[in-house]
Amino acid sequence: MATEDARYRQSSQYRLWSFTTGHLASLRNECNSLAQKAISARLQSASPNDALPEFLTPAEELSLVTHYTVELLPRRCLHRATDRDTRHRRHLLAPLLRHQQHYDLPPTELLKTCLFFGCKAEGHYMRLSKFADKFPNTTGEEVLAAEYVLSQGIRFAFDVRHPFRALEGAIMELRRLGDFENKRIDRAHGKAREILKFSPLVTDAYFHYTPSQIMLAALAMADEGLVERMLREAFAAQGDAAKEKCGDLVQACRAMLEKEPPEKMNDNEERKSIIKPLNRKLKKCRDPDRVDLVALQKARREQAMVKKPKVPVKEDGAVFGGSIADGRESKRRKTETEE
Amino acid sequence: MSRKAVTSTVTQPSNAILPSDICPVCKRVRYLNTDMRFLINPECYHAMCSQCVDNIFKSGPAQCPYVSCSKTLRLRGFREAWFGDLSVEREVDIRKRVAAVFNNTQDDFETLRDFNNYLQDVEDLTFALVSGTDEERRKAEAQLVAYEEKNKADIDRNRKKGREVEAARKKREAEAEAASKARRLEEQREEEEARKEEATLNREVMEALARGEAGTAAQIQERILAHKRQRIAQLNGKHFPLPWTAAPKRTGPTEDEEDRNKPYDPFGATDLDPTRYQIRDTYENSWLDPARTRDDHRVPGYSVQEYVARAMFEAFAGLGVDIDEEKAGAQRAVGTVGAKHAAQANTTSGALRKAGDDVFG
Amino acid sequence: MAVSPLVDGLPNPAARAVSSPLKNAAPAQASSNGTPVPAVAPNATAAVQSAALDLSEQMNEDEKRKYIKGKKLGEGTYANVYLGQVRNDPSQLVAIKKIKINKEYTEGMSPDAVREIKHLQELDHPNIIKLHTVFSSKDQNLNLVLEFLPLGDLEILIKDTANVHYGVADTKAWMGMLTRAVWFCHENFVLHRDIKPNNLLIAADGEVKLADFGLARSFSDPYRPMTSNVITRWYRPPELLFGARHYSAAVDVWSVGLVFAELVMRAPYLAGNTELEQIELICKGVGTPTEENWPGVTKLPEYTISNQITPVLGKDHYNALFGTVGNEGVDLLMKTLILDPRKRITARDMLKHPWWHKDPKPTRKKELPRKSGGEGEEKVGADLKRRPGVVDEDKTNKVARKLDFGGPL
Repeated sequence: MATEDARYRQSSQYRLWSFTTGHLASLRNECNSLAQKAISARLQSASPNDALPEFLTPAEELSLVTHYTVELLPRRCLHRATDRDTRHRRHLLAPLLRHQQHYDLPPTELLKTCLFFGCKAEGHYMRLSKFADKFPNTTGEEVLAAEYVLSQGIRFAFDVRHPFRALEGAIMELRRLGDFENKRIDRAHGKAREILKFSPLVTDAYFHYTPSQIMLAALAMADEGLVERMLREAFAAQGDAAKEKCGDLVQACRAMLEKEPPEKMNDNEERKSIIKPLNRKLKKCRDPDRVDLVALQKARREQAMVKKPKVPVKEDGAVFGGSIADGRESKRRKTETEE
Repeated sequence: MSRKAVTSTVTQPSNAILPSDICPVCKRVRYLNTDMRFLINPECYHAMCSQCVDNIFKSGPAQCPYVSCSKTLRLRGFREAWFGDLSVEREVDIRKRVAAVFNNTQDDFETLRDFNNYLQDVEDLTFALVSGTDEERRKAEAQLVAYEEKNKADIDRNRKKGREVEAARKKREAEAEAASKARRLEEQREEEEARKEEATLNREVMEALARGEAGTAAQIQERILAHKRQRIAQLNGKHFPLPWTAAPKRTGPTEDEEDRNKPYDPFGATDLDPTRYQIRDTYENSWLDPARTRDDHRVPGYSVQEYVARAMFEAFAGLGVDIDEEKAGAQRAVGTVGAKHAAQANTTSGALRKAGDDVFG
Repeated sequence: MAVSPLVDGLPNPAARAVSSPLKNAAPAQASSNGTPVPAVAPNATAAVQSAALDLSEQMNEDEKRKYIKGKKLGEGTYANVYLGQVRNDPSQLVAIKKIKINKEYTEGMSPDAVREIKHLQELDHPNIIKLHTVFSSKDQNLNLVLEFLPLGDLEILIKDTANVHYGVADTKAWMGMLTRAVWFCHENFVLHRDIKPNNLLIAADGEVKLADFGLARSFSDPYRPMTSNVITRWYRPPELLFGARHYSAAVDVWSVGLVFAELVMRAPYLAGNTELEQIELICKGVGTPTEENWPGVTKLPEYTISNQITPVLGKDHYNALFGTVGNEGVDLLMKTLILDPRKRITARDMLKHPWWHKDPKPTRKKELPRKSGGEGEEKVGADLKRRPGVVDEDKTNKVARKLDFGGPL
């Protein structure tokens, strides 16, 4: 039993954000169908005579998300922050974007929120106004609007463990072992980093593998020999069976990453041709409740400020549970007991 | 207890409670005499303050100052009461005295029935002494004195035997204590040894590699490990707790004693030492060099070593975690949020589960 | 309805459908406050209502419904704390910390709350307060469901010199628990940055737990500055007072040392009213930081000391003040209060120090002194005691029955 594994199992990433392939697929399907039901109902009640639009399938949703993730990557040039900073932020998005359904939120808005919140969670604050200035036509209010939705979506697991520092560790260990030329290690280091910046974000690697496995998978894509050596080192005391098992996992993860090599990042044409019709489809079937998130957010806040509304105000209580009815009920019951 | 002081315990049954603030004799109050103590004399159990006792009895025996009492008391007989309720104090005195005389044990009787009859008789006598009328008391007193006269030799023999039994018991306990202490020390030593053994393991492998012993690196490693593993397994099997598990339960002493006797573990049985790598003092990494030397990092204590420890941990943590396999059981055939939810709750940390908590990260 | 004690009070959770925007549609047609929700026809079926939540909202609802919020235990500027019960097992108590919305803070979710949640989600240790779950309530407040720790904090015990008496064995036990908590944080690459006696809460079984991770952060990577404005002044180490932007876990160790000193003295050892005064007190009570004892210190951005230089105080000084903890104890204390953070002892090495194995042995947690009074909380404490499987005493049961949690009426 390795303490390292036991400790990883304590992380929220393992506890809340690791799934089997089948489970992840069923979650996505469930998301999709829940959203379809809700939106159908709302559209219908708004204009009962119109036919329902065609909805996105789970697979189509996923391609959309992937597209927006790729879109986001070049944005880092907008930031003064170093390369290292942006990594953290982007990685905060990965779980959310690939897990949640996006009928209800305009994806581009959500991405900005992700970036902003990512900074906050990592402890590099940027003034909201300063942050918003970096994007054309964006106000701070817009950035904040989705903050709660986002936090809730990632079940308040703010600590995303990415494979970059792990890569640094592995490289240091390889250099120390001294079995390879520095040049070879450096080359693999650079290549693995490029892979990690792209491939895990546009695949499901984060859900099915641990950061160290993802890191070794990327390293294996760059230089198989180095990974061999790392595994021998790591499992010297734990036996060949454990080593082989880990080797298999790394290879499986590698196969997943290889479907989306970093070269594809600039291959926007192909992607766009797929995305265009999907976007059109999305516009038609977006949740009418949430098109204007800023207004919705404002309404909720105002509602929260009103301590005890005399008349039940109709509200969108859906998102955060406990509607006005509860308040009324509890008040009534309280008086009864007082009597 | 001096026998003399009680040979004639024919006192009025007393219901008095030990006074706490005012002396019933001189009426002095504690408020002005903070060191006030109350004394009693087992002749009559009438309480008075220590100053009264001094004043009245210093110059020789005198009559009890309580108007209703005609006992003659001596200074020597006065003492502090153990109980606040003086009737209890008196009963305890009487029982002690009776028990010192009727000190037979079960071994002294042929049958259990005989022993029980004897105990019944003793209790009847004691009761007469404690709560009987004057007449009953006097009769019981006479009985007690007569029995004592008649069985003097037996009583002495029993008393001696009792002392021996008591001494033997104490000796046994001391021996058990010493043995458990030795056991603890031995365990500690072995544990220490096991730790050391494991610590040197990696070093020796490295040294062998550095010496360039015959065979490939892997072969050397295998050879040394095979040898070492055996030894470690031996030690581990006995005393080395696995990481993240509590020490195995032993039978024998109660859980509480066990707990009390356990050597203190400052780390609280939590093992966070890495098993797949060791942190070295230096790693070649030109990116880190400025952090090692720049004043704004070095002087206020920024620790490159902390960064290295983290990078190494992240490189090796979770390598052996097979998500598909480990999450499969919990998430199979999950169709609804509720079920999924339950599945996730099941996979939370062991500590939480143990406490029976209903937890979702 | 933010603070209704009955927020979740219905005894049968199933009876209350998950609220949806359609639920109250019929009676209220006019949307006077500009709510963006369009008017809804009342023909919506029940099935549609329950589907109105998306997956994450449903999960949030599920979390929320696991607990019943009870009476308010305390109110702060940043959060209110409520007593809570686990719905399926009302004998299990939790503390629900509801983060207040700060109208002046226009930057969205409070960073303190984000930090606290982020780190507590990852740390699972007997001496660190447990975060059971987080959910958001309808008014967009964050609710942290935390382990309920009814016996106050170390500060209460330290201050109550009239009623609480404790000795070296007790101090050692508390220090052991604190040091393990800090060690565990550091092993998990987290700086707490606000260690002080009133952040050390006491569980019903006597276990001390490190709480309040509102200032915590992960170890910073090289070249990434941190703020020096952390840690309550009395417990703040000299490198932070001198404006360091790159520092290490040694900052927490200094605080641990001062908690140690305070436990022994039963008063804060270095209680400065301003940062300048704090530096002054460190110079007098530990020694003046100079190039000799701390090479490079004069180059730190806010290095300021008065002209009078006190050489680093020796063992005699500490023996006079802290001699009761014994020779080894004084040695450990001095190592935590080394001015140069690079020479200061680490939390791990603290646990390897010989002091722990010297007499007296640390008191067992159930035998540790407790605060006097506080009848109600004692009752709750007694009730809590049953949880980890401690013997279920008759007395405890009786107490439990008398309790009023203000829960479902």
